[in-house]
Amino acid sequence: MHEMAFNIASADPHPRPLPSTGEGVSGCTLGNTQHSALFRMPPRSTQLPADLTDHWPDDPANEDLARLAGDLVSTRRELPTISLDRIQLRMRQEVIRTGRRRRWRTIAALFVLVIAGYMGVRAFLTARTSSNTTTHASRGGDSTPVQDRFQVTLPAATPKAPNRPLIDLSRHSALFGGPTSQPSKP
Amino acid sequence: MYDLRIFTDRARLNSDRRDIIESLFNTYARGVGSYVYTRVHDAELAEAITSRVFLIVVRNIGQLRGAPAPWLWSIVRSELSRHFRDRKQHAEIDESVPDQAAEPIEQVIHREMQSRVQSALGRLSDDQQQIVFMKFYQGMQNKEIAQATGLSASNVGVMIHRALKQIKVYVEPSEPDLPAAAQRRE
Repeated sequence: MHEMAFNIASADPHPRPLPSTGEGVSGCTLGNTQHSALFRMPPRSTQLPADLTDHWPDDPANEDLARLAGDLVSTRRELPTISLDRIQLRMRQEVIRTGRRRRWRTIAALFVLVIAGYMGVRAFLTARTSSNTTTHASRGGDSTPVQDRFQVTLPAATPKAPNRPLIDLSRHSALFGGPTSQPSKP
Repeated sequence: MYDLRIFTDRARLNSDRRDIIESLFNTYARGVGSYVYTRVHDAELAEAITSRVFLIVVRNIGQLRGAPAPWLWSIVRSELSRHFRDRKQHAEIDESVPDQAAEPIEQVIHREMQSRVQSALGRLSDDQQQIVFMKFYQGMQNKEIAQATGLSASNVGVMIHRALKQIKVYVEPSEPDLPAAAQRRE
């Protein structure tokens, strides 16, 4: 924010009185402030300044110079009051326009901030979720194992296994260094 | 919770800004208009330039630091130089002289003085123009000018003296002009 070094009360000793009529100027209000009451003070004097010759160096031409200063003041051209009123009206319109522009700029800036904030938060949340998943998977925790299931059809009747052994080892004990025995004839 | 004071502070700042602008206008507009009118010699043009000056004031009020008179002067000076630059480039200078025979002698002298002052002001240095603007068009006291410009009051007095001497040189008719002026009066 700008710091205003200008003090209204002290820097406004002889302001121009507000126009009382003409082109809607008197009815112009800015916000809730009616300024006409603030600045109803006498205009600056058109007379020669009282301290005109203060601190002048000694000069024989001083009298002429003071007269010239008088001429300078008396031949001064003045803008007509109606012109000043028009200028004031334009200025007030510009004040309102500037205020509006500033308000819109603030709203736009707030909108951009909100959108940026929303996008940021969203990006943050997305990043956090994906990083959580990755971490979880890399840890090998209770993730669901892969299961393969195959349908197998069994035949209705299966051959029964024989009761006696396929090879009678006792009959062939000679092969293993044992007493020979004639295989009994079945 | 959100601090809502920021909004009330902002509203107060906007209101202060408006007050400052109004105050500046009421204090300085008449002087600015008068100075510009004296320099450009055309009421409509002077109104347009003064209006531009105060529109710039509204747009750049945040740049105001310290005393407003020098800041305002810098705007006036730049707008006037822009005008004279543009006029040099584009517009034709209105050299038409009013019918002096139809006017009383006082008015002729007054008009002549005004045009001489107009040309003399344009030939002063920047500092002298600023001092003349503040002293004779804004009606500021030496002390106020000193505060605004950072000079001492005695320095301001000396500068005014020098500026007037300079104006006197430019305003007084030169020797070859004298017979012509005498002939016109006859």
